Amino acid sequence: MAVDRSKIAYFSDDPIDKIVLQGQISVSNAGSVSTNTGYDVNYPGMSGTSNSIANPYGRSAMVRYRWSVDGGATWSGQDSNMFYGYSVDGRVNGVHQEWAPTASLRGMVAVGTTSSNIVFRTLSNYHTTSGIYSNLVFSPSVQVQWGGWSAISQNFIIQYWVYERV
Amino acid sequence: MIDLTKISLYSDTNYMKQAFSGEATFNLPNNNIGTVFTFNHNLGYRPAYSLSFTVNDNTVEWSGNMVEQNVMSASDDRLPRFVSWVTNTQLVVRVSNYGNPSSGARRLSYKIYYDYGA
Repeated sequence: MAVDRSKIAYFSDDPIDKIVLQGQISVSNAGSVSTNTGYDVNYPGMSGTSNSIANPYGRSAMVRYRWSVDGGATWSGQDSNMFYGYSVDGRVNGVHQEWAPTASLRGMVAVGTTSSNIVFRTLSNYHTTSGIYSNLVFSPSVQVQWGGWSAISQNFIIQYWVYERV
Repeated sequence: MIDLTKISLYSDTNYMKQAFSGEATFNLPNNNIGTVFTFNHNLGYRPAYSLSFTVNDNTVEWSGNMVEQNVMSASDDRLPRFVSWVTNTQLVVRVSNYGNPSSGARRLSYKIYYDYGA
């Protein structure tokens, strides 16, 4: 009887993924960083981290990973972008003009490998969500002064599985 | 009694069989928003797949898009990025590098599985 290979869960001619390394790392990201641009002062900017550990496998390879910012209660997929929303009190020379709804990035993670290291990067622009204002000031020079926000630090738990490189 | 979780291969578990795998090396051009790579699989359905890509300098192999501080800023298009999808016949990867000063040799690795994906 001819064998229908598509019905066989494992057939020795088919390569299957083999995990050569797995582990978990915890990375702290301090949250939004006070940033000055051409016109913005104290703007909440992105905070990035980069950490490396040794790669005992000795080859670069594909990695699957997931990450959590709530102690492992919930997990985000490897290419997830976690956003959050808040409103900005838009002012001109200190006078309220509008509430501007906006959103920013709470978390994003990348994992890569070299022959000697496993590299973990996190990105976050997480800060408090109330009392935030942007104040347009015309004198002495036109600029937007931001305030009322505080950075929120997060602990990223990253679980990873390194696959054999064929 | 046997603890099945300690056995690396047993018949109740699906093992994500690989149908195809390979690498593509290419020269990442500057100011380019649409370098497209296609890999034929002809499985007749949209399979699961995995990708990795040496994004910036051909050293770290990132299993997904790399993140860096400016990725969500006004200059987010200055980082090489890729998006990917599968059809019933192909894996398609589009690499963009608009405005990025880095260019040169890069490597893209892929695995296409027999398992259903999208």
